[in-house]
Amino acid sequence: MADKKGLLVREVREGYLFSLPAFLLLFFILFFPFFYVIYISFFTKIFGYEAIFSGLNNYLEILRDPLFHYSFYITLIYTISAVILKLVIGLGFAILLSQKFKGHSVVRAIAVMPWGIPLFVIAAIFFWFFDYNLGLANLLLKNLFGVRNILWLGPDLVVLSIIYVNVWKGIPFFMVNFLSALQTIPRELYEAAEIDGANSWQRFIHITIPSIKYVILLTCLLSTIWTFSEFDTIFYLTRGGPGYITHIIPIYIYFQAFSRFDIGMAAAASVLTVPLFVTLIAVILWLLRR
Amino acid sequence: MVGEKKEERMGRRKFIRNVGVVGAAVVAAAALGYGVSELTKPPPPKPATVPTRPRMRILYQSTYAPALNDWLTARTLEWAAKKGVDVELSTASYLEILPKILTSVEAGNPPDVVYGAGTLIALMAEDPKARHIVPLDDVYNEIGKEDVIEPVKKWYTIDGHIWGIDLFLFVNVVHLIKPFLYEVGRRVEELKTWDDYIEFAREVKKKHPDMYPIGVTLGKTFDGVETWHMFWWPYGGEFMTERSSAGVKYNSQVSRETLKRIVDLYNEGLISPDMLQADEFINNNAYLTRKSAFIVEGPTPYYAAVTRNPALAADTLLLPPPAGPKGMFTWGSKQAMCIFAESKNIDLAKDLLVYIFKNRDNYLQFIKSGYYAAYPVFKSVKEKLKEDPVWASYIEIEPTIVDYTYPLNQPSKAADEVVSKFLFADAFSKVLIEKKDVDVAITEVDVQIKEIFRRIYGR
Repeated sequence: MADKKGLLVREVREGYLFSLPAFLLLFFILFFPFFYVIYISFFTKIFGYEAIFSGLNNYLEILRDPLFHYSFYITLIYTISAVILKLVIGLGFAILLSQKFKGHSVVRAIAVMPWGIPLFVIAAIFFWFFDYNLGLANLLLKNLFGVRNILWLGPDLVVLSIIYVNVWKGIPFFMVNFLSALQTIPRELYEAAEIDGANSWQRFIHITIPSIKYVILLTCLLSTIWTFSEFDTIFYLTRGGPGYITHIIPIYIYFQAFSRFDIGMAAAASVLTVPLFVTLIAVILWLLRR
Repeated sequence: MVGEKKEERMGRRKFIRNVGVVGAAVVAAAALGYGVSELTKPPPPKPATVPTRPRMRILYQSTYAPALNDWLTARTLEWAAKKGVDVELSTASYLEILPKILTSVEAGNPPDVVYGAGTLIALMAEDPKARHIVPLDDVYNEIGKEDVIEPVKKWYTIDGHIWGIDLFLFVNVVHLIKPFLYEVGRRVEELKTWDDYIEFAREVKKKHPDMYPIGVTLGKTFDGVETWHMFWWPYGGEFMTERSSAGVKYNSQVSRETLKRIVDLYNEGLISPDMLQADEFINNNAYLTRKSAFIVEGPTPYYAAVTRNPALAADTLLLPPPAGPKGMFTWGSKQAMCIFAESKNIDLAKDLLVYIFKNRDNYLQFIKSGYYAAYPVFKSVKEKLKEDPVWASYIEIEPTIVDYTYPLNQPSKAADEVVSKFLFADAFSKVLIEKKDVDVAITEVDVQIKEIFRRIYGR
């Protein structure tokens, strides 16, 4: 018995030893920066200056800042709207492309393309697409329907415009995930339902959705995390403007760091978003275990 | 079952032990082989004494006029070749340059020389306990301090030392498209003050109701901040008189009148609604596509016209910025070069700056390559350009070049933060987007500015 126990202890020790290099690598790449951000968030740390311990001051200042409240609000609006739209359109496309038709593989390949385009290229494309005077969007509307120029990146439409860009970029991710999940649903289920007299809507609600619900959830959660932390396209398209209309959380953090020059404030603002991410990640892990 | 499991476990342990033994044997054999080869190796030839070449890291901001970038790069590499210096030269756009500099400073590994750090001079030199750049007084003396125009020296002076030098100035001028002028029967001599230009814009609007004749940025950008100053200073606006919240003079009647003037122009349809976007290209494009009758901007749009749209360039007049009762204001955007104190090659870095600036003929060619995009920092170069008929009118503009810390006109970390946060342009958004009253907008911005000054200067 004692022998057996000793053997087990040795095995456990060996296990830790073998995983040590990977753990050290992960520690320095992932955990160290993360804990450093938490640590520095308790300091006033101007670039190039000594860090001065300030306790919870950074957090209190941020929580009292109406701009942070607005940033959080607009980030939520942006994220929720974009994810819902990507879900609906992505699912629609996936169902469409799961059907056999002539050239369906070509259409699938084209549909995936936006996912492969770098973010700054997308920003450049849409910067010109939405331009008030020269943009393709206005040119098309003007020539086809005689519509006057629309201020896509102006105060009234800018939130919709950035959501549109995010949806355009994100649909392929949803579509590909859903498409692969749809292909795992046994045909017999649909055939049996059809024999029982279920119409296509009933088949969709009672067979398709339940069969791919975990893929839907996982895709939505991952997309929520990415959309919430989206920076590049919005920064290059609007820089948080006009005014503060698209001043999402990542842009708020950027301005704390590079306009106020205070890393402590930027770190504190970042840390304040952690609970949301932790919750989302916990749900993802729970889903993956099922 | 148990016996089988035990045997399996033992087998794995044995396997690991065997792997360990084989590994140790391989390492021992390799060590033995290496030792033998080292012992039998003929002695290496004595290396010739080659001095190690100094190595420098240089970061330049890329301007909108590629010819200027090319000149600076060529001049730097030419210097490096002459001095036997290995140079690692990188460039960054104006949006990227500050984050790049700041993060490298924080990492304790800034470049040796930087171009494009204008708004960081105060941050890097104002506090004696956290100075990251070196004073350039000896560089100024070497290149001819007296020849450098006064504002440049003044706006980089802290504690009696000069900490940066502008490669050139990015002065704002009116880009006027002549056909619009002729269309409304005006002569260029009639356009001097903001009132003249606004009247001209109204006449153009009457002829072209769909057009927005005045091209000035109102968005939260450096251009938006410039717009504020261009309308503010000529009417007597003042920003700061000392480094304290009490020295901030923003909350004034002039500020209210200025904001109201600009808001009225917007509401009258003289300024395009897309000018509220946070984008520096908008008014450039308004000029390049003839959507505005005139814009007020540093002359890179003109550079773009000369190089890509000669017809527009031929139709363009570059004129002094519109004046007010106090005179005319030109934002001489800071395009600073500086040397970091962490550099191991400070003397070489200074030598590079001398090499770039000392030869005035060469500097003259640099300025000319920018087709007005770059305004010289040397009085002598300005004099030479005046002799050239193509350049005379531009140089004779002799604008009132003012730093945004007027009337103090000295570097200020707090002022730099105010500018970096685009708070002056924020006032436009507060009225035009958030629909706040002019008075409320000025008061709110004033509170924000004073908070920054109090936080930084403690008073």
